[in-house]
Amino acid sequence: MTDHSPSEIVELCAFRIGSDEYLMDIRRIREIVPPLPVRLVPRAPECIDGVVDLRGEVIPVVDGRRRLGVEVTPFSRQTRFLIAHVGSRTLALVVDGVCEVVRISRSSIRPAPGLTRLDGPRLFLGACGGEAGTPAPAGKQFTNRGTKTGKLRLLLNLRALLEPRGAEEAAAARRLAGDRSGPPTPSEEAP
Amino acid sequence: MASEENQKKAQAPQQQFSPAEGDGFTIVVRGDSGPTPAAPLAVPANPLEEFFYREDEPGSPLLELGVAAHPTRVTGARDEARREYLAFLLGSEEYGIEIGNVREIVKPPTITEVPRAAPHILGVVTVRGEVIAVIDPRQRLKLPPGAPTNLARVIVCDVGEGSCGLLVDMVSEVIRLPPSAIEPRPQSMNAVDTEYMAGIGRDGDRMIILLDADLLLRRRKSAEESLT
Repeated sequence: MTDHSPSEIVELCAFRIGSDEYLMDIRRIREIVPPLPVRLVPRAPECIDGVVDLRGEVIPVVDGRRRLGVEVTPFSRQTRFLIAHVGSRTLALVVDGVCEVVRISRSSIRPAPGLTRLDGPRLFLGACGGEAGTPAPAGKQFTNRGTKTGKLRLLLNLRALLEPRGAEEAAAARRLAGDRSGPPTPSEEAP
Repeated sequence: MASEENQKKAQAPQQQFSPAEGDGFTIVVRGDSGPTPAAPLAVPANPLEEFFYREDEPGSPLLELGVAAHPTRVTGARDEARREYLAFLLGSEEYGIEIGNVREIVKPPTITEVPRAAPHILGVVTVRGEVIAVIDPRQRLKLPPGAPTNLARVIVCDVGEGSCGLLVDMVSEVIRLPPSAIEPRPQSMNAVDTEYMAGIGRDGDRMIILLDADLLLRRRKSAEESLT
């Protein structure tokens, strides 16, 4: 089991699903690709929306919008597939956009707000940002834009996203996030 | 947030974990974790352990689709279909190698020269902790030397013996070519000049000289070099 010390720097990829932003361990992401044609698979599990052919490799597709209960819009120019690992398997997570990679200290990750579900794995394992006016950390060698812009981002548990009832927890998280961070602030990230 | 957790504690039988690190995470778990199809395992004392990727972490049975069980069949279909090549520039000419050989593309780090190395090896670089030899394709293709550019990249390739880097002027794109767009290498030219060519690809007006990655990156000398 990895033992992270609080001062350890971790790199998280920030991406957008619907109007909210989430974070994933960058080491979990193998690559990020523009949308590929999705083949439907009959009788697949409920969380799987089909498969894609990525250079000869068949990868199941999980639509992050549908899993979190937000509107499933047609693929746009910003839509991306995050090719991510869960255990020894790979999946393609459809997201509405990839924002940035943040390098933050482990200690700036806060516990996620308590949500509706208690049984089974939690969908959100922590939170980052969302506190306006937090001073930049002492070490200047890395940026902490997630905190400076005041945008609350929840750390997404990819394995739990495959569970059937993720949408309820996500809706509760959005309500809580809406209460905490107020109106969305202009983003300074590059697309 | 603490009060929410306390309310839930009062409602149901529970266990509470506090990690020894003291970073403030507490979770409340019911004695009987609910009917989820995910692999049941002891809930980690620190929920962030599940967030950070480990190669040996538990997977999800929901991803066991069985569609990846026939890789040979998939490959067979692709042989007849378009192949993907990574196109790059050397000087003003465009070249390509099969994308299956390419592991990653990096901006060239400082190249450490290696004395008494073969002439086509520029030196070694370190990519994510791994020491990789960097090859100058111009030397192999008998092209004049070029000036360094900001767009120069090292294409890190896997050719079975390990990883090698290829220093190029610029990486263009990944291009798909159907077999009909690829012409075999010209027979009339001197065999030495076309030794590393796998063919010539045409995409509209573009002509892309397709290179055989195995020959280009192998550490042993080519037949011609062995004679000198």
